[in-house]
Amino acid sequence: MKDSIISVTDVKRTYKTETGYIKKKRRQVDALKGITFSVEKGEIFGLLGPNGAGKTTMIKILTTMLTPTSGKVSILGFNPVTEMNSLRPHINFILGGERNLYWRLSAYDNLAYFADLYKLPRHEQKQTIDDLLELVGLTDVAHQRVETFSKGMKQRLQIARGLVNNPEILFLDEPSIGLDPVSARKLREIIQHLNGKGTTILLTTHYMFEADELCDRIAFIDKGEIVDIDSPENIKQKTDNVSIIAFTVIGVNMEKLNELSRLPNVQHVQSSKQDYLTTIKLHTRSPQSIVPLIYDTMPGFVIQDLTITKPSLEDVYVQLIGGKVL
Amino acid sequence: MEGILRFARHSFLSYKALFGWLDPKVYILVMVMNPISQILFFAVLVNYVYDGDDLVGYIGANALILCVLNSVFGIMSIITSDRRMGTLQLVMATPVNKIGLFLSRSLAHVLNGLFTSVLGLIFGMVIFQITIPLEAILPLMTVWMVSIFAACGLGLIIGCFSLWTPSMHLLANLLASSLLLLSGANYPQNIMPDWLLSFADFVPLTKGVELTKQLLNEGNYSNVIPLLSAEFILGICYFVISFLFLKYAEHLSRVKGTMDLD
Repeated sequence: MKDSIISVTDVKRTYKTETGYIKKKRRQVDALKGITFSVEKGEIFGLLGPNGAGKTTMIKILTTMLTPTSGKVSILGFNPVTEMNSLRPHINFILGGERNLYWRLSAYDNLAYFADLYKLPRHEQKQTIDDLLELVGLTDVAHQRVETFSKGMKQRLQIARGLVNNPEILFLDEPSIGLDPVSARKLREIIQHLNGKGTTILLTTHYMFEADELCDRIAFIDKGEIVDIDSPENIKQKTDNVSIIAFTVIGVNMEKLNELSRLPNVQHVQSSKQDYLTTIKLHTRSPQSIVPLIYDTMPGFVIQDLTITKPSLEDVYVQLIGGKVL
Repeated sequence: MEGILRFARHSFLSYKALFGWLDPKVYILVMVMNPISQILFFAVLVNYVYDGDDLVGYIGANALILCVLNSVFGIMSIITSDRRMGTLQLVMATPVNKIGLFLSRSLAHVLNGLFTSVLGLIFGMVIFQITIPLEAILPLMTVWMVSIFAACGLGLIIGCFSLWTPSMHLLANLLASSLLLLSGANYPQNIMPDWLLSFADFVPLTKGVELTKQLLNEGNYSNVIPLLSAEFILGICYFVISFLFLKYAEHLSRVKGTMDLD
C-alpha cells in the first residue's frame, strides 16, 4: 500500500466579511463545507470544479497560505497551520497566468532569487538553475528579461521556479490557463516528466482532457463539497451505461431543445452555439431508440455529424456538476 | 559568508526587480534632475532669506532631504510592486526569514538614498562655490547613512499601508512633505512651535538635519553620538513597527482570509 502524504479530513473554510461603519453588514461565505481526501506519494491528483467551487481555497490551505476554519490537514506529516516553517521547504506551488514572476529580471535571475529564498546552497545553485532551464526549454533565453517572453515561456519559467527547491509535492493551480495548444502540451509533458521522477502533483484545472490525460485520481468539487473522487476511468464508468448522442444543427430554438429533453430516456440535453451552428448532446441509456425520435422531433432541420459515443470526462463533469443542462 | 552574500544578492535583485525607475532616462529625470532642481530651489531660497549665512549647512541639510525619493517612494515599491506583480504571496510562502528579507530589500534604497543626497550636495557645492572640511566627510556620511536608514523604516510602514489602501501616492506625498517641514532643513528648528518640535523628535531626518548643520556650519562633533544613537533607535523602532504591520497583514490573509496578498 502506498503512503498517503496529503491527508485532508473534514476541512471547512468560512469567510466572514463586514462592510459599512455605522450600520455594519456581515456576510458569511462557506467556501469549503467539509472536504475529505488523501493523496498518495507519487500521484498526480486533480481537483476539478467550476469557478467558485473552492479549488483555490483548498490549494491555499495546502500551501500554508490560508488556515482552515475547522478540520485536519496533514502534509508530509506536518500540520500546515502550526508547522508551516517546517513544511515550506518541502513543497512549492505554481499559479496560472502571466504574473507571479519578476518581469524586469532575467529568467536566470528569477530562479536565483527564489533559490536564495528557499536557502539553496550557493554552490548548488548554478547547476540546479541550469538544469531547470534546460528542463523547461529556456536555456537559450536564460539571460533575457521575462517581459520579453511569450505567455507559454512565462508559464514554463513558473514551473522552473516551482522546482527550485526540488519539492516533494508540487501544487499547480490552473497551470495551463490561457496557453496555446502547443505550449499546453509542452507543459503537460513537463508535468508527466516530473511525476516520473517521483514528484507528487496536485493540480486544479478547468480542462477535462488535461485532467483525463494527466491525473491518476480526480476529485470533483462543487460549492465547497466533493461530489466524486476516483480515477478518470472509474469515474467515466460511473455514468451507468449512459451514451452521448451528439449532432449539429442550424437555427435551433429553445422550444425545440425543450422538446428533445422530453424524449423518453433522455437524461440531459446540453447545447452550445458557435456562429450559426448549434451542437446538441443528449445523455441517454438507449441511444439506438432515441436516434429516430430525434429526426421525428426535428423535421425540416438538417442534422449533421451525428455520433454516439461513451461519455468523456467532460460529459461526466457536466452530469455531476451541472452546466448548461435543460 | 554565505548568509552575507545571500543578503547582498537579495538586496540587489529586489532593487532591480521592484524599483520602477531603473530605466536610464527615467532614472536621470526622477533620481537626478528632480533632486537637483529641488536643491537648487531651496538653496536659492535660504540664500536669499538668510543672506548667505550658514548656507553650507542648509545646502547639506537639503541634500539629505533628497533621500525621500528612496526612503519613501522607493521603499514603498518593495511592497506595492511585489503585490502588483503577484509575487508577494509567493515570497511570503517561502521559508526565508521575512525580517531579513525586508531589511535586505531596504538596504539598496539606503545606499541609493545616500548616493542621491551626495549628488545633491556636490551640485550645491559647485553652484554656490562652497566647500566642506575634509574631516567632516566621514562623520557626515555616517550621519546620513543612519538618518536615511531611519527614514526607510518610516517609509516601510507607509509601504505596508498599501496592503490596505490603493491611495498610496496621497500618503507618500504627505509623508515626503511632512519630512521636509518637520526636519527643519530650511529654517532653524527652534523657530518651530513647541508642539511641532516635540512631534519632530519622533520623525526621522530631524536629528540628521540638525547634525548636518552642526557639522558643516560649526564644526561641532560633540552631539554626533547622542543624536545619532537616538536616530538609529528611532529607525529600529520604525522597522519593528513595519514588521508588525506585515505580520498583521499575513494574519489577515492567512487566518481571517480578509486580505489577499495577490
